[in-house]
Amino acid sequence: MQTVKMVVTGPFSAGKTSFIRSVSEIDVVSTERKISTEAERIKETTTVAMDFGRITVDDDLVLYLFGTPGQKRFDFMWEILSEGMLGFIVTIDSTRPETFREAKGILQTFRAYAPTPYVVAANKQDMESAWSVEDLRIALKLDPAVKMLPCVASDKESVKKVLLELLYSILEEMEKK
Amino acid sequence: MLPPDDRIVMRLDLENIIIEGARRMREWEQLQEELPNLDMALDFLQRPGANIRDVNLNVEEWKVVSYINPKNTIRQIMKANKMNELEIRRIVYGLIQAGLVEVVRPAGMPLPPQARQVPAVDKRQQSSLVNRLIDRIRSL
Repeated sequence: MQTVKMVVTGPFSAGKTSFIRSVSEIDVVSTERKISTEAERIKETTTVAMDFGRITVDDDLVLYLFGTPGQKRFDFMWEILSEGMLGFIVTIDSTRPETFREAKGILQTFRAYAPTPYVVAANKQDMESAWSVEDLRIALKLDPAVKMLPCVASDKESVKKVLLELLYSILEEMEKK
Repeated sequence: MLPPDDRIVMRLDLENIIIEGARRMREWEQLQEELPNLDMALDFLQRPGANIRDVNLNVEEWKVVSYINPKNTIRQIMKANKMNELEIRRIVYGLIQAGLVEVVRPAGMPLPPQARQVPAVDKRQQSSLVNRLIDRIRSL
């Protein structure tokens, strides 16, 4: 049995857990805890170690999806989770510009861990206050070659599109070599 | 009461000192968050946000720039320039924000044992594996 993994990362409350839940065939193994500090209390719980989802491809191949903890103090988990990844997805809450700089930092950190293909998923695009993908690209100073995709993490079709775009990038990268 | 003869007394605004101290602590925390690992290296961006010739750098910043190379870790650059962690973080953070450099894994540093894109098989097998994944995701 061959296993491959992808990592879903991004700042606190960007929608990583929802993203994995939308496509995982198992109930996501989540390590959520109640949020202890008032400053971060924009949701009830947060991931402290990792989320874990699975998609079985066939008898010989399984794809694992790992979600990283969003809070900075758990970033020691990032390098562990990034080992051996096929590619990674950086999720961003398009409605919270105060998190964009952190997202950029996370993106750079993961790129440094492993030079694998990645895409950026601009989550919560269904909300009125969401920044457009074009504006987000400027705010994050993203290279034009990097795919920035509109996304709603709770919507399976939307998540599928992001995963497929990442896989296409991986395929392109392989063909270049 | 007068101060002893060997002391020079000066007035200090305690409030300003506390504010400056708090500012420096915040700056330090933020710089640590932005650059958590000094054992990473720096490289110039392929398409920098600014032309380095148009950027005004001070002497200390030029000293750091002169050592930027994926072979040198930020810590090595710090030592070569006899800087402390706050000074090097401040300069590197400025260069990143200016869109001139990016943090990279140092050249020669071994990848983690499993950190390969896909298991070491030939290109055709790798493509086949990714195509199987694509077909599966499409069918979800």
